[in-house]
Amino acid sequence: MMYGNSSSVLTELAAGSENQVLAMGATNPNWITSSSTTPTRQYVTTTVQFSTNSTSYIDVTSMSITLASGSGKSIVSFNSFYQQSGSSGFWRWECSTDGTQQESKITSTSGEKMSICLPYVTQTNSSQTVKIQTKNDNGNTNYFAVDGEGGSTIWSWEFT
Amino acid sequence: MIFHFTKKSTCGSNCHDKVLDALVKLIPETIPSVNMHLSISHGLKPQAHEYFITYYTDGYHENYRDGKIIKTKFNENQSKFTGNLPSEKEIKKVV
Repeated sequence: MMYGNSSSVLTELAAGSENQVLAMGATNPNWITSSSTTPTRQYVTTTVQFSTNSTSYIDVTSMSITLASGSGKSIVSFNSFYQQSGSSGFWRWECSTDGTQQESKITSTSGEKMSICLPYVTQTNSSQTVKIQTKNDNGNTNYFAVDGEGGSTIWSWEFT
Repeated sequence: MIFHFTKKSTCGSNCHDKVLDALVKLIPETIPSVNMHLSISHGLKPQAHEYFITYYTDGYHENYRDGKIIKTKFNENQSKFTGNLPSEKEIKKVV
């Protein structure tokens, strides 16, 4: 690359190395190694319906992700098209390092189909596995990706 | 005791409840959500349904995770299953 230096003399800057970026120094441009790295982003999505009538928490099939190693955090989110046959449907994040997180619930007896969303910011990455669990306190049935009319998705986005 | 298997099944509305009804009919001691629970991953054609049929025979709630059985203490609604368990073959016939 050719550029005019501080003395207005045409100067050549040889090509940098892979993944280097061009930056401006005090007087002249130069190549530097970027300090940022691409964050890990993952997702799992399915239209396969999952149902259970367990009154203790169990794992929702396929709704699991293993986060990146090292420090930093991730924002994770779970979305699903959901229905319950009666009252008291619950779901929550269960993280192998952070532990179980605050649950979401629908206490009404409405059997309407609806979209649900449960975000969470992890305390660490540390290669921990994060997954969605569910239960129904009254022994009714919880349906995720109900009737295949909508999906279930879990995703993570690492940041530091 | 967890019966975990896949089977090609016709899925429709109330699929889960129909399977529960069939299990109650097969084993009268079955009390859904009390001494057993059912989970289904309703795979669509050509995939098969994946069934997790759990009877609390050991006095614990059981959960199938990554090929291992996780046992947790009963909550106030759950109790031990004391009926006679059928074979997996018999269960597969009715689900």
